[in-house]
Amino acid sequence: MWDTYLLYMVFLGQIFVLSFYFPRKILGLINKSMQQHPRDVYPKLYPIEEKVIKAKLNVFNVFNTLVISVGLAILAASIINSSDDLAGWDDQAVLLCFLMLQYLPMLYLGVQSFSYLKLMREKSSNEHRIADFQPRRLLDFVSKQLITTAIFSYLLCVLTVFYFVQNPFDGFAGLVNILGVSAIYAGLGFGIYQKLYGKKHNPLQTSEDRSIETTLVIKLLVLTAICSSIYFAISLVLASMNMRDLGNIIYSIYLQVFIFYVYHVVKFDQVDYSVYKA
Amino acid sequence: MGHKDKMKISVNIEHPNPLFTQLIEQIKKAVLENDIAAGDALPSIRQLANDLDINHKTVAKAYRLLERDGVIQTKGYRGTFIHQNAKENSTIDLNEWVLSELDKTLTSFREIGITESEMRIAFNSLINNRHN
Repeated sequence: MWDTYLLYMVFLGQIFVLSFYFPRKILGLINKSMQQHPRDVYPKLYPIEEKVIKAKLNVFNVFNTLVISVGLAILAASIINSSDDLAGWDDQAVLLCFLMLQYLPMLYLGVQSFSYLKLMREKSSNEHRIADFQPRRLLDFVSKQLITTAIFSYLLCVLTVFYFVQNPFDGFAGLVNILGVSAIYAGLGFGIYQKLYGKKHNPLQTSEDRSIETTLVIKLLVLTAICSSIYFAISLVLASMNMRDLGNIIYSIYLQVFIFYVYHVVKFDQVDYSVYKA
Repeated sequence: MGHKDKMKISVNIEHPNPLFTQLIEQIKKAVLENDIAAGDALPSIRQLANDLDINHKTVAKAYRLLERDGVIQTKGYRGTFIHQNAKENSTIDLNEWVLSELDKTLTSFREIGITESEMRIAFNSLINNRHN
């Protein structure tokens, strides 16, 4: 029974952290940035009207409120029905589906940021373009130790899969697991490549700000790779010990800790806003 | 992880000079003024083209011509670097040299009475034959 209560607690935590705490903090950062850098002093920061920005942020807020409502409804239904599983269904499936639902508002905000930067590029079409004349290399932005850890954690995961190929347990998918973790690494690697050599989305961003942003994003992507491969290995071990539910709980806790970490490292006050002045 | 003083490169898309020429001139100037030294690494074609928001082929053309002039050298997958003799090679302007050589030749043709039309036909014929 204790594991059911633990699952409820962790699920509640996931609702709170991903759909309440983090969105609130992000909205707080955006609002603070808008208050401290008003349109009349920093016109280039506003390719669209402030009221349009606020309306979009409001949609983000409503979106999150809806997700919280769905999450609390799932939790309430599980408690009322005294179900061992969330919503009387497979815990892992519920956690995954709900997580995807929780990502939707973030995705909305991401798409809005992308079109915001596109408008910025259109409005500041500068005939005089400038760039740093140094190559950007991965190790300029992330330590060798972190990259080595990512490689070793991948190998650890692959070795774990090979171990269970030799000693399979009920429901073990076999070598397909390696494809799964490799796909995650490939996706994250593509993200890192794009961040290093891809287009500059914010046309006004200084090279120092870009460097700080690139460092932050690449570090987070490498950490995601490390955590996902370690989680993958742990979940296989737990599944072999018939403790899959604990794997779900660990996954949810991992996400919450990661979100706290992301908020801790994302800082808007380091940004050089002078480039947005008239 | 720190960066040394960063050299910047710029292009003006409204300028009458082609973009690849602007890149070549700045890189040669940077070599002559010791802003970049022999052995220094250059950004990749993709990185520079994306940062300047210009076509990759423009940067590739600039790099190709600089390599031909011995200002830079490509070392396979390791990337592109400033050539050991870049400083000496940057002082030679092949375009200028071609113009002056052609000018001398055209002047001698004019002196013996060859018309401009005949010169164009002969020049085009030679160029086309070389390509074929």
